[in-house]
Amino acid sequence: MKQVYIDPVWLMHIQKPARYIGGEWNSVVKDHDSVDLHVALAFPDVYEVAMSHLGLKIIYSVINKRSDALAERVYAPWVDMEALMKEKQIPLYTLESSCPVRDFDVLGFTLPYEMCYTNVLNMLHLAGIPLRTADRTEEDPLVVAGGPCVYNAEPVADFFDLFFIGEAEESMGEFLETLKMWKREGRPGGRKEFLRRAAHIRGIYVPSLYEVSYEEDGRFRSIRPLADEAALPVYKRIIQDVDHVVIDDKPILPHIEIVHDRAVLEMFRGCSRGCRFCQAGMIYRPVREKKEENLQEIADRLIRNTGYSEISLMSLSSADYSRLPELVDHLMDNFRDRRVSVSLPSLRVDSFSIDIAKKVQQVRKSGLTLAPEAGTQRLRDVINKNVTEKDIMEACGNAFRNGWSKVKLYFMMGLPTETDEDLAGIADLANRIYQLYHTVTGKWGCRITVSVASFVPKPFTPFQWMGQCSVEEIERKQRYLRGLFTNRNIKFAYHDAKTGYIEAILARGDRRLSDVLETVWKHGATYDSWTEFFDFDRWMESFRECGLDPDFYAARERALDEAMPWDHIHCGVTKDFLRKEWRLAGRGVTTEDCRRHPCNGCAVCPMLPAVLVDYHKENEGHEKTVFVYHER
Amino acid sequence: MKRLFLSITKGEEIRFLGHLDFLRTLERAVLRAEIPAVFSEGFNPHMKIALDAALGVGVVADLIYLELRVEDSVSLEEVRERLAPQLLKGIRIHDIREAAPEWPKLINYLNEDSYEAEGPVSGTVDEARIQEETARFNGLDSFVYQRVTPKKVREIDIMPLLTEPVAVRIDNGRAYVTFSFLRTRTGSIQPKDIWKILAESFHMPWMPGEFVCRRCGVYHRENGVRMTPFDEAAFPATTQEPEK
Ligand code: SF4
Repeated sequence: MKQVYIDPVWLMHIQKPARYIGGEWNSVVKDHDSVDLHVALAFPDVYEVAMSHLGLKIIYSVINKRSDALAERVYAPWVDMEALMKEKQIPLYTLESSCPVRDFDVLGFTLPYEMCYTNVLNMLHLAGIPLRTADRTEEDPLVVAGGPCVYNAEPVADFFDLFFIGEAEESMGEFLETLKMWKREGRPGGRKEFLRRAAHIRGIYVPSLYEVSYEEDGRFRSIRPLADEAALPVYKRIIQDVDHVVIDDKPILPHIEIVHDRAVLEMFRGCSRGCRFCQAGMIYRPVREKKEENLQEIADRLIRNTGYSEISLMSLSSADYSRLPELVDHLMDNFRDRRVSVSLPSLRVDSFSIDIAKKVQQVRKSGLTLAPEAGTQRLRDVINKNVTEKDIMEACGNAFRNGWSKVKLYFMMGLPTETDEDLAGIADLANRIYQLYHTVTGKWGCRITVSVASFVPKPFTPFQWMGQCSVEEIERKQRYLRGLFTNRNIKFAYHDAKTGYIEAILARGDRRLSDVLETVWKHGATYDSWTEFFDFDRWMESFRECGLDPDFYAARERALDEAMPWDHIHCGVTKDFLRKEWRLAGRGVTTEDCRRHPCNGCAVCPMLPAVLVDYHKENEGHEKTVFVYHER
Repeated sequence: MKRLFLSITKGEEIRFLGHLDFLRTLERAVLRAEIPAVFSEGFNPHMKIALDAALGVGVVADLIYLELRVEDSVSLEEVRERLAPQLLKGIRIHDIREAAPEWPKLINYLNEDSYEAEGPVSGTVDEARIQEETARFNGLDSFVYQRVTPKKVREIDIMPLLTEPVAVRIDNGRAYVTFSFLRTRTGSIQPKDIWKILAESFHMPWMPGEFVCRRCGVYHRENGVRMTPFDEAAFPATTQEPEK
């Protein structure tokens, strides 16, 4: 095993050098000679962000639980460290053993958001690995990826040897077995042969085994498998029995403060509320809850193994967990003497959620965060955010009666059918909440923050056909809305429209964008998700150089029968269902959550197949009837 | 409630943990060890744990003293046994003793630190010259140093603060400088100052700022005599050692 040499004196000039030293509590250090398979798990962002990511922790545990494999971590070095690495010729190395990433069998990236793509290229470069699959040799590791972005990974398809679609706890095991066999046989046929073998595994997508074609006008035409092994479509993997899946009950304790520095308890996977803008709500279906007793036990282990003093109940819509009140009571009882607090990161907009929040925040009331997403009922119906004005007011009223005085409200702008009236609705709502605080408490001075993100249409959502609102129009909307906030106690914050534009291009892009990514990276783009590093003009210049029109990807409304670059990936939810939802959105008709109501025919349950697991009494004692919605 | 003094090591593996990160690591180890530590009262209770000094990022320590308050129910041996397996690589427990309530806080009791600074040599190394310059420095009665901080410039005479002669050793392309100085209330000198002074004013073959540091000792110094909190004579007759 080679190790990189770093003189500690060099690190004295680096910000937060503890990011680069490894040795954290619960990190797993194995002897490289004692295992067959060496996996470097990469996250394309800085330590504090990377260490907060649950998916990566789970895969780290899955691999390190095996006796024949090891997984080590590598994160994007911050710009100062990158400069040092270049100056001293230190290749990208893993934290556990300081071993160059290039010496591993596999380099596995998590792709959490599109704006991290340039960091991926940068990390490959620092590792000394050719950026493109086509240029890699037998000496290079297999470069693979998982995470939410892989559902449409086409813009980065040329940089990766394969993708894990969906939940990878099981497919990772199958992949490692296949790799072990192939290595044992003496690597017959080289990495090409291995990739064909891996393509047999359900949920694994090998982009080089497919050929893409485009229409003359530039639209995507089709994708065709080039080998028998290449499945069409590639179905995502899910874990049906979430009570018996590997969990990370020994999470690594970061050396420095990170974004989410607490124990994380995943209560369930999936969310079927069906918000039409939300990709997570479509790609992670169906809902699968863990048993409450199981969660208690996991929580106890997590705290014992870490010494954390906070546990966060995490899921897509945490308050939807069917046994939440019992779970919270049990955890609070169990942890009271150990001074461990319980927290709920995502609150539903209703009074019930406030009751739970009240329980967990008995002493200090931090700010209350609610996400109505749109300012009028009409628009909330369009996006299927099944929240009424009454829900919002009841939630806030309940919160104010119980001592909260700070509210943070999340909205989006640039949603389909949105008018200035809907935007005015945001300001109105904030003002009414401000008044409500006075009515409830008799005091003025409730502090409200209104945060408005610009909407990015994502693949695998009912809004995947829509043309994104232009940067100029978003900026006009921002100015308009800013003009409506006159109360000094209401703070208005919004996101950079230009970042949202690039994100929209990458989210619904095709393979031709790999040239743009490489070009913009060569021009110096990294850390694009950090405002201080994002350079819009650099991106625009790169599109020009590559002869691609960014509006073609972001702003163009797509025909309902248009082929999409991601049609060969199947998340279980059918295009027919998404089209139906898109049409219902246009009419402002809502669709109910299938969790405790009848099936809506999104198809994920019969198609994968999978079973929705929810322990609410509505669902007790009978099997849910599910169906596939087909368009005539 | 028991008041404990522990002497521990902050080793190479965790050199780059800053003071608060190091303290948090220790707190979490105490929690995992399920040692009944004592917490402050109030809305936001804190574990009663403190270190003898706030060592900077990049500084290791052969010994650093830790004060911890625990419930009476736990014995010194139990604390040691439970804590040791929960400590990060690079942290070791040396000694542990119970402290009387009236003994001063460690941070107030300890007043002298010894360091060894280490860094790469640059330029030509002339051993004889190095020793001459070292002797010249040690022979000075006064050396006024301008300490520049973002807020102000301060002049300090460092010689009265240095308690032992500075020694310089060159080995295998690295320079090692040992020195000891007194802590003062008004913020005294720091290792980086000595390293810089020797480089800039005494022609030592290294670059200012290009070094790492090891604290090799920390003492209570009185009338030229060094004591540690673990010496029998450390807390004299006016106080009674509590029963074990
Ligand atoms: S198939 Fe039916 S029950 Fe299953 S997630 Fe889709 S809508 Fe819900």
